[in-house]
Amino acid sequence: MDISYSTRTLANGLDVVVHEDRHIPMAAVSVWYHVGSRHEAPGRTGFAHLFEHLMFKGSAHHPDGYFEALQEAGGLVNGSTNTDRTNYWEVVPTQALELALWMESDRMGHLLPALSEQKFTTERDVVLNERRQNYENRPYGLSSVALAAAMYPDGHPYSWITIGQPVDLVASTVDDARAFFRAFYHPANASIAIAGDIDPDETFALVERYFGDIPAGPAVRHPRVAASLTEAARLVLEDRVELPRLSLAWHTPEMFHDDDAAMDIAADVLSNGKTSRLYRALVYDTRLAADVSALQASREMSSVFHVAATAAPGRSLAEIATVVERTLDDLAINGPTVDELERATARAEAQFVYRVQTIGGFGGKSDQLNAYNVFTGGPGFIQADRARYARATADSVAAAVRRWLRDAPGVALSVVPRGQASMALSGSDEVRPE
Amino acid sequence: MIAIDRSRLPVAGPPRPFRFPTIARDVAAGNGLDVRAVAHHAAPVVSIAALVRGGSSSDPVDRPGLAAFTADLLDDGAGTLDGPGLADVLARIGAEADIEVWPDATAVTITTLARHVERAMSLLADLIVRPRFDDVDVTRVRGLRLDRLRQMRAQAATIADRAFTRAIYGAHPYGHPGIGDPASVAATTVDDIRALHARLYRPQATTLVVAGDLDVDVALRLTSSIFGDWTTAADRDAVTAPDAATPAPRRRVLLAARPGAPQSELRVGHVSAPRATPDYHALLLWNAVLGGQFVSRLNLNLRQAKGYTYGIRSGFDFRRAAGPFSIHTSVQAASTADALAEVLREVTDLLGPRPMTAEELLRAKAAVGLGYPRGFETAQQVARAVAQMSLHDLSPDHFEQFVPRLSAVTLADVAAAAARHVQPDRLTAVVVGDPAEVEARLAARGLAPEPLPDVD
Repeated sequence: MDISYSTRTLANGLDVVVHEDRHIPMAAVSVWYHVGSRHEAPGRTGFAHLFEHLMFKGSAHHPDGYFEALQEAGGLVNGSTNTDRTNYWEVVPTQALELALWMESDRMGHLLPALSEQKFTTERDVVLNERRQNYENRPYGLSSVALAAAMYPDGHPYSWITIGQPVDLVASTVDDARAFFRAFYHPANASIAIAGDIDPDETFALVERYFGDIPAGPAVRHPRVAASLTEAARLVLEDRVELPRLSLAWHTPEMFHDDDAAMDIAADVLSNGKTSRLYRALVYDTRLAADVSALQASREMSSVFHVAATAAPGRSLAEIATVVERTLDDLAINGPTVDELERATARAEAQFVYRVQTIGGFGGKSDQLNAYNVFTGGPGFIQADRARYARATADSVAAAVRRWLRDAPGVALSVVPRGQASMALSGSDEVRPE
Repeated sequence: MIAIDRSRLPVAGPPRPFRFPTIARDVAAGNGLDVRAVAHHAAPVVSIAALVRGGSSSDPVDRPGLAAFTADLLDDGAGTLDGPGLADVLARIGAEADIEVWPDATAVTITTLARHVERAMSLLADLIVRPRFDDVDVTRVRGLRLDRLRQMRAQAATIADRAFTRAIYGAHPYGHPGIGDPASVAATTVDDIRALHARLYRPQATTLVVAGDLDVDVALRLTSSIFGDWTTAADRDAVTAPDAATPAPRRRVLLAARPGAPQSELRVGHVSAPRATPDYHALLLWNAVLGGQFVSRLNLNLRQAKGYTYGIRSGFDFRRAAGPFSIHTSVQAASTADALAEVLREVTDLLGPRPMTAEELLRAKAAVGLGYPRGFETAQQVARAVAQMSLHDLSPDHFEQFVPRLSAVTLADVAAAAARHVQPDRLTAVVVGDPAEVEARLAARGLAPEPLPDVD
């Protein structure tokens, strides 16, 4: 399991990574900008994501219709934003690779002349729609807002979620957007990976032609702020839901740390399928819960480990909390069994293969190479990444669970039906995220 | 370095050739099982899919949800293993079983690392041929499905989908959601489940697709040895596409109340065409222009120009019998009536006053056709494409012929096909939203809604 690649850095600082794979006559282009919601200023949250939308609205030499041009070339095009990075990608028939590079370079080098007040306002409305659809009008949709606010002090770069606060989005202006672009969207803060039916040398030459004359841009300061809780917190959020849900969260080490892999394995042991401990203890054997999940949400500065369970009708969140605590205690003391560790590492190893079956898009080889390049400083991290899982032992997983989930405080958020605050864990403080 | 011409976009050359999968077919199992194998060496992965020709439209009239309930139990115990035992073996080979229930078919797919193909195929055989359906599992799964039905009552998008399906199909076998309803799920017994399994899961009604990093000879030999002893007691009627009548489509607006909702879920459409329609390619192109992709009349208008929504899509769900044509979106509450009026106007316009232009047709053909090989990149995609080919009895040269057939479609073909299968003055709309925000505004636009009774 490996991904071959070659890499160069242009004089303006743009990293270029190329991977050849000729199984389908397509080329995948992936552009990562090392900017996410953690680079935003308090009071202007949601900007990195809003900006992702604006990047599709046109650039100086093609002021309208980014989707049109790529779609009619047979390409797929999209982008995404998280706390730490923004990515843009195209998967196009090989003959349209140059078109994709033309467009990516035009918006990297020449976006602002085409950014009008009207485009900005319309796109902000689209984002407000996105937020209402996916967060406000969706059961449990605002729990991520409440958890982010509870896990970090005010002003911490992870204390707001990526889509931002509506009040900030409404207050933002096109001038804010222009300043944001100047600060973050330039070659020195970007990495481009191209995978697929391509010739590496020709591809390097094309990238040099299209991106070589774009000014490097200012150095970017990437926030590095530690995260910890000084005391445990219990919160309750009333929502339009049928069944109450308990969401627990703890701080854990950053992406690519050894304990990040250990917590990934712990999540597998706790909630992946019918062999997993929490699924058995809460769902399979007892029917205390309708569902349960555990997840190591890996991020660049620091991560969060989540456990969430929805109470079965007539069962209480307190019963669920007791079982979760007992299960975590046992894992922290005794660690995973030989069988559990074998299953988790076999699954992790297989996931490395499955993740790189495509050349690009959301995930795939071009995205993976960029992720390694931006977050670890080089695209060739896959063996080191796999080694983290191979190194994990019963003792290292137990130690990680003990340190991060037992010896450190966490947040317990109860999401309950409206008017049913009494269904929350006792002593919970009411929150009303917007 | 050559200076770049930024005054115009680079013009793409002709597409590079692509060889579609070569499908080896076999009936060597001798029991009627339709076996199709494809060597696909892009990654060390194999995907094995069993497509059973029977899905939620095969539910007995008094047991909506039975096919999905039954499928849900397949990996809760099969052969000599219980649910955790199956999960253990799957995990050790890095595999996951994926069970999907559609209106016309049930698909059970295991994707695994190529070196584990034999173990994976044996497990798949256990799941579909030898499920245990133990009482304790039926009881637990019933409870979980009832919980899920209850949670769905709070999901606006799900409420809209269910109400829309019921409104356009009525009592037709496509008229209920796969999961069924609480009364049916509560009443379902082990005997119901065993009877449905015996009726639907038969080699004569199943296609087994093996796609991935192995030789087709190996795939066929494995299939024959692992599935060769799968026989069913007696010949049974073949499962056919449902041929029940559907209610005559008519223009109406149904409102499901969700007081205080900041956004309204919107569904618009009616029963339209089956997969077998000769208009298939023309309808794909018509839909691409209307709302089948990001750059479409609906999305450019409602998202890009008006900012009513995060996105709007339209589509034909092509099935063995006539499937739905539908438009779906979520719009801000205050714009609901405006959005619905715009949707209706766009459909009407494309069918008459503002027909598709030659340029739109050309662009749609390029968008749909040039990217077609992308659907054959992974073993799972290939397995799925071949399974669909089997479900719809498509010709062996279907993949090769897709783009040529698309290219041959004319503006007149598109107009005629759309006129046959879309009736703009008979579109049914379902709105899930805040009555205080939407009711009067809808009425003011001549779209006065009928209240929708609570749906379980």
